[in-house]
Amino acid sequence: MVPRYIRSWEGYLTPGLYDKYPLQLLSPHPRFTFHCHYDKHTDWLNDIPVHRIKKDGYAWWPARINPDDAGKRGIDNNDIVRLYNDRASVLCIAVVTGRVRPGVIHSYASSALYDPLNPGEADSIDRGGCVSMLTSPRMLSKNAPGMAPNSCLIEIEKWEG
Amino acid sequence: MPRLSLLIDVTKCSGCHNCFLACRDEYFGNDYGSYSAPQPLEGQFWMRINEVERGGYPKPKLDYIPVPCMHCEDAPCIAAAADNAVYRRPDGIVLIDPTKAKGQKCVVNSCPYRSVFWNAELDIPQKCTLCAHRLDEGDKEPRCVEACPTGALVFGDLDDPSSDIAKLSKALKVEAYHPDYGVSPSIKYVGIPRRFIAGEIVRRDVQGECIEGVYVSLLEGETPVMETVTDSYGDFEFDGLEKNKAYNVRVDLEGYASMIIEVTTRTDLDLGQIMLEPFN
Repeated sequence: MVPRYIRSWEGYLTPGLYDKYPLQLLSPHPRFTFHCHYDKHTDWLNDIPVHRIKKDGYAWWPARINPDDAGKRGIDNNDIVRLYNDRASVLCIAVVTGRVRPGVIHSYASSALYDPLNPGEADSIDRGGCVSMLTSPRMLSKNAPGMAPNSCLIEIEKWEG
Repeated sequence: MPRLSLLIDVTKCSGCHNCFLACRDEYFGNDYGSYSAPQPLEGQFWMRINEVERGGYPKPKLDYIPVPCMHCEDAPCIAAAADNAVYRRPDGIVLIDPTKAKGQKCVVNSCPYRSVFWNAELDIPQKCTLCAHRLDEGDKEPRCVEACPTGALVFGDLDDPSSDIAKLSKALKVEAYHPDYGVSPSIKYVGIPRRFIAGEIVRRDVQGECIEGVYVSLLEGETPVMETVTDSYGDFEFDGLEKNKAYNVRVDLEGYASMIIEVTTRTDLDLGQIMLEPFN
């Protein structure tokens, strides 16, 4: 048995999908919570700007975007943005940073807050920052029941409400 | 008399915010009498973490600068406050008297570091007390220092030669954060980020392969000030450089033409690939 490369089912080589959603979403484990637990283990966690950023009286989940990608879409730092693909739409606050490379959006998984704009509607836009709704629920492979949250293509736009 | 202070090593801070969380935990809703009134739930950062991003893809750098109250020797908040509402203790800690300071919003605006916060509910200015109430009870450190997992925060008496802070202040290159404010801050810093110049050496005749061990020197005019060799990726870097200063970067490799690149550190610089031409 020799390990071999299997093309991602959702990546930059995926025909059709990549034209529609040209950004790869990376959603690693969050830095200040344990999965979606303890987002409110202290009430002042929302004062940590790596965790959430406050704007207009709401604590938004940050999504990090390269200046090139942000410029092309007219997104400025601290703009509210909509991350979307065929699965869901999630509102985040844009952090424009050279720390992510062009073509990549970085936003931590497991926001503990699901806050739909239209409660009760299955396809409602979420403003709590549950970027895990954008990722595929499928397993890594038939025999490996791991999740693959980085095989996720999205598009992002400025949200004007 | 002791001279209590903090030494903040920026190079060790990973931005975990444990200091901030511990501080809020100590003061939110807790009244320490003449030391401090309760902190509100949101919006006060007695220990604030400034995130400083330098350079960009593919060579970004990130630093976190913890900024508490600087307990300045020429504290402008003491000068701004009426009725001695802000005062300096003999051990160096600057405190705001919660009763006398009532209504004195000018104290907030007097701080060039923006380290004093307004409590709208109680109508008072508030700030870091270096946990004076705990120190007076015999505790050795403020909560933030206790919570710091990397040792980026060191607390102690600068006048006690046997203390860690005094030893480190001697051994390391300590500086003030924003000395341009001219208020003689007590809090000492190490490793405040400055400019860097980075680049990658490539040979014209052996492309696609990295070259390790190439001598790269940094010159001020003709005088060498720093020297380094490329790592196994062919990358080199000079950090801790002055802002807005002209430097020359010289690359020397036997068998190749020496190169001199003139740069000015208006921003952090990634020179990208530097192509060396072989002689023959």
